[in-house]
Formats: sequence, C-alpha cells, structure tokens
Amino acid sequence: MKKSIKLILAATVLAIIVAFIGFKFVNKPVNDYAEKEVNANFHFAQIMDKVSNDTASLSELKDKLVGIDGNIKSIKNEADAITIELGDSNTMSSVICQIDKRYTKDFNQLKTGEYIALKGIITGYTIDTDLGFGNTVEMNYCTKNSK
Amino acid sequence: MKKILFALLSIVALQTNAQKYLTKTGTIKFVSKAPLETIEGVNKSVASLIDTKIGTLDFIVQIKSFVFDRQLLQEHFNENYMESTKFPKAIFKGNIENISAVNFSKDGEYEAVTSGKLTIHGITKDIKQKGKIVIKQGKAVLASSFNVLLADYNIAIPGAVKDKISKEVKIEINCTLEPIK
Repeated sequence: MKKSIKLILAATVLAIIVAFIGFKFVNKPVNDYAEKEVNANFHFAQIMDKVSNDTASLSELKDKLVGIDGNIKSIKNEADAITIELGDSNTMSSVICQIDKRYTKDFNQLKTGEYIALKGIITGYTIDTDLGFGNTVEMNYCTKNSK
Repeated sequence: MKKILFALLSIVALQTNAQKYLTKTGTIKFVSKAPLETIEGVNKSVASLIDTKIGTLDFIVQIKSFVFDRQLLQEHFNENYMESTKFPKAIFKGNIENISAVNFSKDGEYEAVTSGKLTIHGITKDIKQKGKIVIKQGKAVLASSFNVLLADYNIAIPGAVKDKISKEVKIEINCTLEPIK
C-alpha cells in the first residue's frame, strides 16, 4: 500500500474517532449521583439551623452532593417528574428536592408524613424574612440516600 | 353536633378567606429555539406567593435549580450565560393589577394582568404580562407564557454558538399555589 493511502486512511480513522468522542462529550447526559458518596449528611433540623445561623458553612455546601433526611411535607408527582418537600406543619421552612427523573420510580409509593433520606446537589438557599415563604434549601438530581 | 358544625364552618372559612397562597414547587420552563438546536431547561422548585389582600405576586427562582438533559448544557447555562454563582436568583416582585376580578373562593378561570420588576442576571426591568389564574378546589393555578430578550438582561451569546441559542427565549410558568392556613 502506498504511503499516501496509508496516511489518508490513518487521518480518516483519526477524524472518525475525534468526531465520535466529540459527539459523546456534547451529548453526555447530566451526571448521575445515585452511586456517589455524599460530602456530608444532615437531618432537616440541622440544615435549617445552618440557614438561620451559619450561612457561611451552608454556602460551602453549594454545588456539593449532600444527604438530608426528614419527613415529607408534600410530594408533587407529575408525568415525568417528582418534587419532594421535606419539612413539617410547624414551620414554613423546608427543603425542596427535585428527584432525578432516571430514579422517579423509586419514589412512586411515598406518602406525605413519611420519613425519607435523600441526597442531591445543593443548588442554593433562600432566607426569607418578610414575604412569608419561610427559609428554603434547594437540591437537584436527588436520589434515595442509603448512607 | 354544634361542635362538628363549628369545625366544618371553620375549615370552610379558612379555605375561602385565605389571604396568602404559596408554592415552593412551581414550574418554570424556558425554551430556546434556534436554527440548529432547541434547548429546554426546567425548574420545578420555584417559590411563588400571592397576597390576595394587597394583590402582590412574588416569584423566587434559584438559577442553578434548572434541570437539563445534557451535562454540557447545564454547565454552559450556569457558567457562561447566567453566571449563576454571581447572580444566583431570578426574582419577580409585582402586583396582580386586576386582583379584584379574581374570586379566590369560587372555582373558575380568570384573566390576570401582572406588572412588576423582573430581575435576571443582575438586571432589573419593569414588565407587564397577561396570564391566567384558575381557581380549583381552593387552589390557585397560575399560568403564563412570555418571551424574554437575552440582550435586555445583559446575557451575551458567543458567536460560536449563535446558531444554537435563540436571542429570545420563551418562558412558561405553571404554579399551583395553596392557601396558607
């Protein structure tokens, strides 16, 4: 085989490999945290205490995988998504967890008032002093936390 | 019998005279339709509050709570366009101008006109939008859809992706608010 043909073949194969890697990179699904270790675990009351009294350490948890356990205050079950609110009827403050849609089947049987341990990425928090929302911590891509 | 009647009347009174309606699990979806790509992001942890007595309407949206299908979209959305570490929230503070036309104690569908200040990416603009409030079984469902020009909020689109991201994105709001008891 001529050297030039070999070079063309090698360049073609290389281009296909680069295109394949590029395609996989661009279309990579969002990260799956179900099997990942959490950075820290908190009970609902502990994380709410951080919102009220220690936002410095709470800010360090942003974008981190964190486990939070507590009672289910409400469940919003839609066709392709489940959102769970942790909290209780004594307070407006709560933790909102958007369940990773790859794992919604794990949450179909839950009921309000049940205890649950979740883990997810902390996306932010809101301290509400005047509107009446109560304080809120938000988490994304939540799954069950087996600790 | 009197006690039961009193309890029932109290429940009905709470439902019909609720002053504030709240959700923390409302939905906001944005859709960018560009020649080469349609991008959608959904946030189902939107906080919204209506005070029926004074007619105020508030939304608080955590930008990092938007969910995407692809990791790269999520990263570009937060890091390159919305700069969500620097500007973590979008906030709307406004009023339902025709609040008196909405009967919160009677099931029905009502046209609503809202106006107020919308803050996205650190830029605050006055907006006025039409929407719909559906009262059903004591709950208030807010629905609205409008377009936002990214340039209005100082959100730049790099030339390399100008065919993949629309200059104008569609915002769809759907929030079911429950009376605060």
